[in-house]
Amino acid sequence: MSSSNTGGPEEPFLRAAGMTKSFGSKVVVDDVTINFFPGKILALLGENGAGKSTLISMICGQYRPDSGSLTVHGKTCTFRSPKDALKAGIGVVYQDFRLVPPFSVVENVVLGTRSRPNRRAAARIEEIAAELGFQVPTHALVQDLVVGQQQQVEIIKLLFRGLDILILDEPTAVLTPQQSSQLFTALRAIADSGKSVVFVSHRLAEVVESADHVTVLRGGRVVADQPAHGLNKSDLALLMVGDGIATTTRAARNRPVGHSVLRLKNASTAGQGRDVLNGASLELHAGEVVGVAGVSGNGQRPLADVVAGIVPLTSGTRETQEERIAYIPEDRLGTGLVGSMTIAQNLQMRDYRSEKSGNPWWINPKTLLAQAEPLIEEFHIPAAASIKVSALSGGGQQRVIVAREVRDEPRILVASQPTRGLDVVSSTAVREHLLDIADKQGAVLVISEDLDELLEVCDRILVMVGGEVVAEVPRKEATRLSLGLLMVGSPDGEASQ
Amino acid sequence: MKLLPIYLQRRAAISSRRAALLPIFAIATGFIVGAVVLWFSGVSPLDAYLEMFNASFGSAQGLTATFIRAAPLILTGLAVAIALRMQLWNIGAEGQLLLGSAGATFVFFTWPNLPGPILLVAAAVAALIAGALWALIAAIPRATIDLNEIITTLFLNYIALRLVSFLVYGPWQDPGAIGFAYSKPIPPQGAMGTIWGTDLTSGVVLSIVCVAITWWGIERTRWGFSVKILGGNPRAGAYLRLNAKRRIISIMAISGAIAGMAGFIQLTAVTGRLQPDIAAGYGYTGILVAFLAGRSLLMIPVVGIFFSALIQGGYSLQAQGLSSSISTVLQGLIVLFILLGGVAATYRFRWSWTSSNSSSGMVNLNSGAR
Repeated sequence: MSSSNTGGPEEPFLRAAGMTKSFGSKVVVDDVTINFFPGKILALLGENGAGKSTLISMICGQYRPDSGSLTVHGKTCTFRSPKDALKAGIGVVYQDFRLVPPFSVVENVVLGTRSRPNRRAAARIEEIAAELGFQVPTHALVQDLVVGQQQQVEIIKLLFRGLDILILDEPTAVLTPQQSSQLFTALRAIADSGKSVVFVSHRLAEVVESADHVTVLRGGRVVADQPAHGLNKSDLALLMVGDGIATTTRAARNRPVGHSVLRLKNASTAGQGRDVLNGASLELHAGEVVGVAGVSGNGQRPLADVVAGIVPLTSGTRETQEERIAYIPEDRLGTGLVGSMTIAQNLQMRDYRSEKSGNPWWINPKTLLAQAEPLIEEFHIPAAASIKVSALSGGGQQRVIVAREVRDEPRILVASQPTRGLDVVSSTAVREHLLDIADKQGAVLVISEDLDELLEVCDRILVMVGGEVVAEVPRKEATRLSLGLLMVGSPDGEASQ
Repeated sequence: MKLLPIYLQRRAAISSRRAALLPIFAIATGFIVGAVVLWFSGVSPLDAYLEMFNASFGSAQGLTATFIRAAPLILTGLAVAIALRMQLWNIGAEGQLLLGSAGATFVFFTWPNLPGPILLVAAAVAALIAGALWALIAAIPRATIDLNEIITTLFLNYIALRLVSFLVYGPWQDPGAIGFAYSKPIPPQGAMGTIWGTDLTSGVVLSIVCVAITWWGIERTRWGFSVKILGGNPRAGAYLRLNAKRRIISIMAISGAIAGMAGFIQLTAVTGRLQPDIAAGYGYTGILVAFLAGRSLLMIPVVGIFFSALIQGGYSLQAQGLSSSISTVLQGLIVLFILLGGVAATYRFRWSWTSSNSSSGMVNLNSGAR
């Protein structure tokens, strides 16, 4: 507002130009330019890993861009911390709320401001809430509020500070459809009062219905930046997932698909939120690779745990005769390995109890090292057997897990995000191992956020939404577009209503 | 607004060299700060430290006393350290030690006429079992209903103390000294022998043997391998379908048995009678021993002997009219500096008035973040 020398009323509140950020050798955000306009709702759309969160983090002062410039109200800014961004009028509502549960609503709202949690503050909060149609008891403790109300407190926090750029990171992920529509009504009211609202999403319907403008990121780059008016869901899905042809680098193998080895019927797991199983069914056959696609947090992790047999069901059934089930978990160092132990020890963690270890009671460190040597060579583990696993890179750690899980030709292999964070060479090696297991008449379940990977290795692809398997697509019929639409809950690849 | 030009930058990992230097740094700093305390008490720190050294290592008599006191410290330290391998905090070595000595006393009073060697072995076994059972009272609820073992083991110490008091004033009281806080003496053939004609009892040797056996159990058996997996990463244990409950129970039973062994040594080598102060705080000092020894079981005898010398040296200061609590002060300071050093070792210190490089996890001391 300080400068209005050009552009007249269309002068943006914030302009981020040429934003670039790399982590290591990977460019996560690549020369992105984006504008936040007053009175407008902008939707930032993209798949997992498209660079949305990193871009937001740079705009709100969490990360410093490698290059690029931020202009807020016509002034060039360099944010050293989120505090600087707050001072410039930019606030973020994160997915995991930043509230103090045992504090009251008023206390949470005034926290970090110069106001005190007194009657005046409470009156101001009630005023803001009334304008937005929120019903927040100002003196209740935040821990006693439901999730939707906590989110409202977060929004009030930003408005109480008089910020004029509000960024919401996947705000509807935790809300019911009714709560979501209430949220968008409030966001519209905020925009109409002259503020700039930005929300991150991969739910197409709400983007089409609620946003004025859509910016789509893919692979760290802006692939679309246009008014929402006139866009339909299939346009957006195509923009989001790209129109790349499903590249099958490896000729389809002629594997005979054998008998059923595992059957899951209406399986549900305990827990809260969306990331549980909620009546999922699937069947695995010997000699086939089955993929699972889905927006992250729709029950993929519990599905992997259940098929691998390490998490019990609360209802439904799991039938299998197989004993040799291997599992490459999503979280390598957190679940699959013990960082404080050596490569040799980690490689032996499944087998040390069995006859193969040679001796029923004792463990000989020399034998352990000797047993590790051939695996280190075969699976190209880039360190000596006596090195601690925590000293390895992500790719090295994944090779250790793959070596341990694949070496005995398991009958069923569950691989969760098997190539996440790996370079091309490592990824190719891991995929080869998955296909080898299927060639040897094992059943392989691959859960991945990388659609290209699924299209490359799988014989058929299941799509998960809300803890259920909602669709099954044979590889020959699957495209990025059809899968993308199914993942965001638009069945049959139907275009916008 | 900045008050100090200091920035802390988190290190990815602590090098093993740094980790090894940490105890040495902590001990040195502890003695330096202890010197200030001594100075303010009106004593020359150098004289006091020399006196402590002479009293603990400087004479045959001092050395004997240091090694005798080291035995229970090594064992309680080992008891705490082995439980820590499964990320369990056994604060109850004190009570398990008391129960161990009570178990041994029971054997001595029940079969007083057995020949010496048989009686000693039977009493040692009874001490192991009694200590293990006392630890299981805390271990079973921990394994089954996840009841916090820190609280239960701690409170069981007080119950153990009352139990021993009851035995000492009740069924096992010394008819010749009614009202005194000790039992009748154990039979003479139940006293632990000494080594090669010195006054040094075999307790310290026994305790080092226990350390060796335990180390071997952890490093060379399948059971130990599974303990290392579960202790190193409990989620990996669940993923590999290891039975954590059974390991919690077995590791706590072993921990309690080791502490019970300390009770046997105290009874047969030091007191000769059951008495409520037989544990003398060794169960708690054992926590410090385990802590200072870090992840290495084989360091425990060294640290145990060091702490014993510290206590022994502290008593010698009483002769100079000083409170023996200087050794407690030193123990506390050393542990404090281990903690501080452990945090400091994970950060790189940078001096600068501008936060020019604040992008990668820099913490400003002034903002008080983490």
